[in-house]
Amino acid sequence: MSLRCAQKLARLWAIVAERVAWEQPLVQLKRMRQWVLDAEYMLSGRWAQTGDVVSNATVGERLDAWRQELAKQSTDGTLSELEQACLTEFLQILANLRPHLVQCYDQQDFPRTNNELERSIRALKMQYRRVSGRKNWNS
Amino acid sequence: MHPSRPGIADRKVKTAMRKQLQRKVKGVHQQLSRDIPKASAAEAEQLSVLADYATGVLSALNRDGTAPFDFAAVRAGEDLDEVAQSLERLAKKGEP
Repeated sequence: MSLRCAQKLARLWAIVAERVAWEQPLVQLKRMRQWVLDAEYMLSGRWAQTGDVVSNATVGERLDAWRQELAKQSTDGTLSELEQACLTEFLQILANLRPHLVQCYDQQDFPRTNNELERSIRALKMQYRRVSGRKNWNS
Repeated sequence: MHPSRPGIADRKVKTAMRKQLQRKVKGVHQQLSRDIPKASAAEAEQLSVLADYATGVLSALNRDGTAPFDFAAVRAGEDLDEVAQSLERLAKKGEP
């Protein structure tokens, strides 16, 4: 490697090394993202082993237990100020939405989200735009 | 005052990272672009590899995330970790 290359490499390395200044915020963000992923995992019912029943009662029970655990975390002083604020907001939103989130599991073949419907509408709109040449579906 | 939603916190961290690092990386990239035509063939090849690294860092810093599952700053941090590891290997062995 030439001297000029080595210098540029060292410079680039030094710049990339500056990322350590955000190590702590990134760890906090990862922890916060994990709450959302955990909530999604719980509501998806993927935790169910063969033979487990996924019903409003079982999902609600798990969700409530997990919420209580998180509520404990928010008060035990282990979290940063930012995480506490975010967790309080997250728990508040979960508490408000709980009745709506846990009601689809007892009805067979009833989808948990309307993502499939949204996707089919999007496909229809795209097809319409292509056929009509219009950019806007509503015009 | 702290933002009360992780998505907002993520955006703030990503913006801070970009503000701090982007200008410096662009500077290096510009220097490399200027040096490559003047260098010998072998050196130009090495410099172009470094230019690719600089482009990679810029791409990482300008990543978009799709909230709420995909956080841009977290992804950018992971990408920069990979770039740093690769640069370390490059410095030790001379291979990307």
